[in-house]
Amino acid sequence: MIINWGALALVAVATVVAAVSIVGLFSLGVAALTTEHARTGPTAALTTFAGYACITVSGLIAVYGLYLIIPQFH
Amino acid sequence: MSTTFFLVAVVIVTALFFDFTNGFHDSANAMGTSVATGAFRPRTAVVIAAILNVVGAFLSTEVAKTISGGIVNDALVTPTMIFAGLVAAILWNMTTWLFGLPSSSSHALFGGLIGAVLIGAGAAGVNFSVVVSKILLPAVAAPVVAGLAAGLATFLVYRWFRGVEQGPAAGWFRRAQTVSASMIALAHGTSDGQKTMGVITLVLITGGYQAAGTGPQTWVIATAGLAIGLGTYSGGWRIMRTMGKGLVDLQSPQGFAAETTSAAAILASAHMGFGLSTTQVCSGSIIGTGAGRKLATVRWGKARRMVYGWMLTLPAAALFGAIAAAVALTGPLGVLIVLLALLVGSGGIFAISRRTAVTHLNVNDSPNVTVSFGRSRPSPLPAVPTGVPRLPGGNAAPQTITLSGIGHPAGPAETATPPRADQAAVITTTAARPAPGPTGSGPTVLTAEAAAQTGGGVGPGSIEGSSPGAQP
Repeated sequence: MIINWGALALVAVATVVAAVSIVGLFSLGVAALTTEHARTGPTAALTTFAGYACITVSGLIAVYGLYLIIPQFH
Repeated sequence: MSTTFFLVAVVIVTALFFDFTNGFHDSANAMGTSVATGAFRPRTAVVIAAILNVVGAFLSTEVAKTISGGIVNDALVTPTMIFAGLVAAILWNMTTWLFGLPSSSSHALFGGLIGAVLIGAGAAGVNFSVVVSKILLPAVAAPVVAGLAAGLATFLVYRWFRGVEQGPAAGWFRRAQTVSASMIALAHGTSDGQKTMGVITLVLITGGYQAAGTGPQTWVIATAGLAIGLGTYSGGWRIMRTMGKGLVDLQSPQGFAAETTSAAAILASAHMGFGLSTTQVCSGSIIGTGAGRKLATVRWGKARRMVYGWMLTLPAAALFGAIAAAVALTGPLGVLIVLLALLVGSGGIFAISRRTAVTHLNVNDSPNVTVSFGRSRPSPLPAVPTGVPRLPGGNAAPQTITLSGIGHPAGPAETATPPRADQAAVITTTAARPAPGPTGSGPTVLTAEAAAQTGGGVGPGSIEGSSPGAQP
């Protein structure tokens, strides 16, 4: 019986890393855009920018997912 | 009409029917969590999922070259065996759907095929080591990997960011959910849509209606895509309720975490050579995201029954497949009998489901999927609370018919599971107080009704037509 343990481990690690980083990044962006003191503090413009940047990056990761799903792209 | 043509036509129709059940069984994978958190309205959710499923089916160019990926020896498989396997898979899918039980459609199909091949070609036709490495091990790995990832993501998000579930932040997460859910629906279309195309194409080739080595014809792609899309659109609300409301009380950040994890796991498994079942990945993510947030309720009883259902899927479908093959292999008459059994069986299951219908209107109303096997009682229990006083804080009668046997399609074995504490209380009260309540305007009628409830074999203790052993 051939069990591809390496592939299983790779899938497991990729899933954990992807899930934690995407969800973490998006949450960071949302927190920057919605938290009260981040919106009113002296660095409000910077946090807003950072917030949108985080959400954009998670959006780009979603686009990469789309690339993976659609076989015509590769 | 030659026998071959008849057989090929029957297999194609059955394969499309299976595709349809695959669609309504799996629409909850993509949309269950989004519907539960309100990211999508129920109808919108199934429309989007259906469209993406069809698009995915058309996108997918790499049609399965084998029916089963080596689980059975394809050289020994005849169209009749495929037919028997499909019938078994459909009936198992319908049964699990009736109980609102998320279970893998692929496992049902493999199980049905294994049973049919065991009868038709003997044990040599089944590659048992592949069964272990491609079905059993991934079945254990999928929920564990997805559960861990979703649990960790949820735990960290709720720890780092306070109040992510409130106000404008929740809105952001709901919007993100629409993206993550759509990704799952599209990925599902590319993988499951082509399974049926592969089956139909192989049957056409075996029957001599298509040259060997050629890809699926356009009408096959179109009908298979349409069948899975229609199935997805029809909703599968019973499973949607279990996945969205039944396992965990989800907030939108949890829904997003679960869907992102599922999408990541599905894509990783598709591209790194270790196939995982979509259903098991999605269920694992949902449970993980429930366990990852403090104060979140995970209904472990339901989760446990779901796992029992997973464990049953392969052997039960194999048993159905073996029986179907034994009958169908006797000749065209046998095939007709199996076809008739399929129609009667799925029609009967559908009829039972109508008694306690779950639709887009009530999918979020309750975490429970109820099943009623009683005769001639469309909805008798809701009548009880008018006469019997409500318990303080109790949800009264509708809770008493709660299906406690979501993982026990077999039925009678159910009585071994003790009801939850609150249910038990309600059952006791209902049974102990058949007398009219203070608000009773028609005491005689109510007494008779209550007596019928408790003594007539359709009372709370005899849910699913089993013996009254569920009484505490």
